[in-house]
Amino acid sequence: MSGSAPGRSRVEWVVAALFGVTALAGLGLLVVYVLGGQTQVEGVLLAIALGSLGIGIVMWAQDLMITPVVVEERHPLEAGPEVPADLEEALAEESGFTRRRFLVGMLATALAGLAAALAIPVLSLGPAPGRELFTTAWRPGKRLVGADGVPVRAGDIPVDSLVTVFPEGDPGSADSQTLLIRVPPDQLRLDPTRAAWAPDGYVAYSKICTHAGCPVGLYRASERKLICPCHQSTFDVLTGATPVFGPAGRPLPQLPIHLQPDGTFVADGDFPEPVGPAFWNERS
Amino acid sequence: MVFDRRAAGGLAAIALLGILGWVVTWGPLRPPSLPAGPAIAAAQAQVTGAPGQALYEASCAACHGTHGEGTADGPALGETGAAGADFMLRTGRMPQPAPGEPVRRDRPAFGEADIQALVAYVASFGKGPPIPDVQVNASSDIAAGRAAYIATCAACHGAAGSGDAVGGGALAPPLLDTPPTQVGEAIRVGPGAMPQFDSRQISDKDLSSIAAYLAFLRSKAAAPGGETVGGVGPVAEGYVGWLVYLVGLLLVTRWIERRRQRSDRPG
Amino acid sequence: MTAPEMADRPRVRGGDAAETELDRLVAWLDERTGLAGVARSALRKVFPDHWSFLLGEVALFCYVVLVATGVFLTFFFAADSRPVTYDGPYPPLQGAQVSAAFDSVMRISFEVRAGLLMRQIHHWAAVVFVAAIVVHVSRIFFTGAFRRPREVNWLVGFTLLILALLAGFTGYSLPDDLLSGTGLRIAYSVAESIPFIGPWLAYLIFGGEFPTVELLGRLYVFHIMLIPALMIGGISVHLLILYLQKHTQFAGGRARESNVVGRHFWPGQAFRSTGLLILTAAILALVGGLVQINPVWVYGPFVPYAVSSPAQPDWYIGWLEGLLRLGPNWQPTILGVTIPTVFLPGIVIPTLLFGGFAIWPFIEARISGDHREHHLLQWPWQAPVRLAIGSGILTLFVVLTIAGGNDVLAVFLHVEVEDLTSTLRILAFVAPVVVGLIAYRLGVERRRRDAVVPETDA
Repeated sequence: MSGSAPGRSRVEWVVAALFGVTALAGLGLLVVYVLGGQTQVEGVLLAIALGSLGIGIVMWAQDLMITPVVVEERHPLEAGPEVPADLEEALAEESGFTRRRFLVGMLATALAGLAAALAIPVLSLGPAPGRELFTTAWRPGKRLVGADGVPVRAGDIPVDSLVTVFPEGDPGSADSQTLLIRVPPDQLRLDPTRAAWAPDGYVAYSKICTHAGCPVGLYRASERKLICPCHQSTFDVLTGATPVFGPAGRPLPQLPIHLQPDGTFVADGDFPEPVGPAFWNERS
Repeated sequence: MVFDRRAAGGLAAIALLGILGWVVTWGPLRPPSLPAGPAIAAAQAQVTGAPGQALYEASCAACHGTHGEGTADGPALGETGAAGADFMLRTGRMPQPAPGEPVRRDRPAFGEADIQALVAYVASFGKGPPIPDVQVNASSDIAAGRAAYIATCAACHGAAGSGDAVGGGALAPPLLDTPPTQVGEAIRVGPGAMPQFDSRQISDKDLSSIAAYLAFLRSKAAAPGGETVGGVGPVAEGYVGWLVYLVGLLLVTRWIERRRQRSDRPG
Repeated sequence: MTAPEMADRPRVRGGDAAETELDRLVAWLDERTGLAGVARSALRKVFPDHWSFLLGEVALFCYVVLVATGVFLTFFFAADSRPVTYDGPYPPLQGAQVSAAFDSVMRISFEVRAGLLMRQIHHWAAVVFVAAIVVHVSRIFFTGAFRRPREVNWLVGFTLLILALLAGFTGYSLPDDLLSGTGLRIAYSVAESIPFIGPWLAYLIFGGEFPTVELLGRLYVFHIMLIPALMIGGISVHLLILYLQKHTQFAGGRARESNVVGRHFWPGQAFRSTGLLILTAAILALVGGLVQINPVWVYGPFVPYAVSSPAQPDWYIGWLEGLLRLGPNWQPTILGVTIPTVFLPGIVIPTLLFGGFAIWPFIEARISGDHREHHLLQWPWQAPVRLAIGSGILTLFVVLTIAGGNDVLAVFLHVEVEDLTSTLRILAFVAPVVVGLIAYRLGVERRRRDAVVPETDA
């Protein structure tokens, strides 16, 4: 029963004890905080403090209060048959909107024109794409460098290994990221027009997946297959990075490169098609 | 309503299943990961004390050729070097029970002395990489190790070193329990589907740095937030969200509105 | 009374009963607002008491925790993508180039006392928030609570679900780490894939070609201002409609279409709800402190040419990830217009699924021909067709979410990823149908057994 009876009930003692635990845990949290804090201890103490409080409150409601089941009648939701007519009258009567159609029409036109003008700050949020999606920073004569800016040399890469390269002057450039992979030259089966782009078994492909744009970072060297971790698009390095599994719809673009006498690599131009995922006018 | 108790029991069962599932997958009873280093290998494996050539001819020559020239069943060992042989033997990947099967980590078949003898013999086949000297100590540069690891290794092995499938049946294994020398050997050798990286891509010092970073990842200092649930990221977090949190909250709502509360008596 | 008369009106005293402080306070407020009558009817409002009616409150209380912990985090987070050199106490990142945003999250996690606890509770609360919404929506759906007159509230709730997804996505992208940055790149590509307007739209939202300097600030504005404003407004409308229409209830006992049977809001329901709020916060605190979530220091700062696997979004975006992984590699060119591979799984299918979900009350009313008002709920098996369709759609989402983590699952099951993907592709079509048919049969069976004992109705 509630506290008005002479002794306290067992439930009342339990709830009181729970509230006491909350107080202690709260103080404990303060102590832990002052001592420097520790995430797991803080979480457990906070849980104890809140948990005791919550259980105590619910037990109070369940076992110490009298909250019998009652019945409440619903009233119809509509306001009554004459109210919509009243509302319509209130809206239209004094303003006369329904009679001044011409003026209301012109007001709508004014607002439409203004809305068009106010769209301009929204358009400022983004430049027009232009030709940016069709080009990267690669140009004829750009040397291939690592992320640290140091030119990559033939012989730096053992057979069946790879390295991420960028155009010299733009190390770390997002859209120019390229994979330089070394394979045994006799294994390459590239299109005849692209065969010259892979000197001595060093072949370069864009690292941006043509499915959804993630870096194609995984390489099964024994099978010479590149895999994108995001959706498992798999590309065959030996046949021009053609997709052999997964949702990618086109091969990774190949970068034309040649080998200099000093062992460094130089690009002969930009990628022949846009890198990365497709977009509606990528063939124009 | 009968639904009441049965549903509560059902929810409790789901919660228990969830906890059990956690316990046997990522928790205290998760499947034993990789065998440790040479000490355990010596205790578990047989020791014969035979010279390397005899061991090789008994266990390896059938697939790899009598002088490591390779056969239809196994690749040539000329480029393997001491690092490759040591890696394959210590991780139990070699000798394989039967050729053509996927190469899998296992308990080593040989004891310490036999492994050393075999390694020396296989290294004599060609010019492969020697066993790298990987040192993990207080002066290791784990910042450099992290940078090299993220740039070169994380794509397959995971930023948390938890490993992942790389397709084609291949698996980039978890690395947190791998001995430092094996980390270095794998980088230099490129076992299985893994590409190899020589000292011009990842220097010898970087090998130690990477191994040191992996050792750090295993420590509590890398996980101040608590239990890591496998280190595989949002997938595991989602399971915890549903199996732990939501089941807990459902049980709480069931308790709050349970039948037969004293407060329901008529006033 | 005239105005001077009202000004001089003496303070009203009611009866001879001893006056408490509460009486005086209530009288003071009522003299100034006139709301005592509304307050009394609100406190006496009757709420039916089934445990499944608390699920919406669980979601609401997760949101309360999100706002509370979120405000704390805003004092420390810097939505700035300018590069800085990390010099905090976490050894592997010392000397690394990171964005100011990433640096501020590192500071919260390693240097602000209780910062990591707040951050983890915040992120876990988001994970649980969406899960609670899904369970709540399922209850509404399977009991037919969305039927007239509650179609508007269904639409409001649908909007809240979409806002919750957006809030979560923008939120976990704020630390600018390697994993969430990869997700942003995918979102950019999906936006880019829309024919004719794709690249323009992607440039508009992101501010240029990915990655942009402006993006982080925009995510922040959405996450702490625009979305919470819409959510709080939406939640208020959601609760107001519930208040005006009164809660639904299951048939049985004295329940009728024309009444509400339960307990008064005060004190019974109020205490229980308060207890639920506190216990929700308690569970969030417990697991938030014990189980790590989103360790951005392990992923490291976002770098556009690096990636880590496994790479997944938070679970509530997992269905989209699964669609992208299972999607076919079709990239047709129609009349010179390329239709990128991600367009179908990333834009078309989600629009159809969520569009259908949004207008479901109207679809069901049209199909069933039932346009009456309903305040009594159905048990799920009393509407076997709805039960079948709902079960099927839920199954589809479960399969898609599992497919989003196919590489992790492949390791766990010791199968090849490619085989698992092919199997899941088939399952995505077969499983919903099978589950739907089973649910239909079970529903019909149960309804037939129930019909032996006739139900009381309005």
